[in-house]
Amino acid sequence: MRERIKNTRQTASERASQAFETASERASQVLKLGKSVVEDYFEDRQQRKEDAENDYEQQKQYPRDLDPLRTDAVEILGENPRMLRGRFRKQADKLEEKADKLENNPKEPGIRERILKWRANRTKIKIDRLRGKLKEGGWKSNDRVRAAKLKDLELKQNRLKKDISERASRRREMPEKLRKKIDEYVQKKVKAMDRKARRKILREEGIEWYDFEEKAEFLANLSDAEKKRIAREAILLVRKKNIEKGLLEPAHSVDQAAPQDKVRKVGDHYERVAQ
Amino acid sequence: MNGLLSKKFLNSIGVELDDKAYAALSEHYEQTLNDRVFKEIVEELTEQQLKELQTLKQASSEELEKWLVNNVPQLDEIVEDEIAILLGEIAENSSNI
Repeated sequence: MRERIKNTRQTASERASQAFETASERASQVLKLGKSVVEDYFEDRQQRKEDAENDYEQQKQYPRDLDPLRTDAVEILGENPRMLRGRFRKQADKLEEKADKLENNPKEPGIRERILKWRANRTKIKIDRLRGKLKEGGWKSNDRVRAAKLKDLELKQNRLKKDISERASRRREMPEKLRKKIDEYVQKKVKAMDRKARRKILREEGIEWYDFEEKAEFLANLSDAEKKRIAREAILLVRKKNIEKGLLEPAHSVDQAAPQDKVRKVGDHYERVAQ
Repeated sequence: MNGLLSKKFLNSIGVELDDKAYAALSEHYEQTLNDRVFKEIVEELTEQQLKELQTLKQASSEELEKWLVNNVPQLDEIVEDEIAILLGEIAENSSNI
């Protein structure tokens, strides 16, 4: 008996070690494959970045009319919602999910629409009942009241039908509206990245790109202290907002990130553009 | 808030400075940041808005903040972008500091 148990254990442990070896081999194969895929992706990305930089070098003009600059970040990340980060990414994901759901079920009414239909049905039942009673006849005074009520119900019915058809057309148009909203987020992000990249490149070249000719009068009427105050208030305002959102600890200065469980680290944005 | 640039960030990019050098760098950083943020804000505003801003020279901080929030919708992005760019520049040139 003991011998049998011992043999069973040995067999089980042999099987376990064999299974482990097979799994390790498979895992290492997957890792190798994965590694080559990742390396290919980075090489491709680097190539695209170099192409974008070469394009810019060939096409740049000073000082203001730069071609729509294909920044390295846009070239790498593209102009799709996946480039968004943080709360804009979450919002874009939610909107996309909603749009997909509406497109996949175009005829399924929403909750409000269903409630309106239910109310319209109930109103119809009441109207039918009242008409029946009016047909039967009875007390004339009751008829007058019933007729007035019937009129009200018919008005209500018309209103409900109108609301239902409005809701239905809104439901049909909703996916497009949602995708437009996602595009707006993406375009905002693209503009911000474009602006950042242009400023960075022009600063590196030592070129001032602000055209303040039209605003010269305004600038002439402000002292340095006043200009500094405006900028300072703006910075402190943004800092206050970030503290309220919980993205920045009050004790930290502007560049210090909040603890690890918070979201933002200043500088990451820039590093992504620079890659 | 002890200035806009922290020693922790500088240490993280391998820049260790004594107090005097840190104070000088911090002041230069603040000045550059203020300058860039101001220029970006002016760039975003129309002439009418600039005239309004001029009238707020003597206004309180709350009024100025309120006005900025209402008239510069991209204020968050402007400030965050400029901070990120400036910190990136410091990081890139850390060996020369």
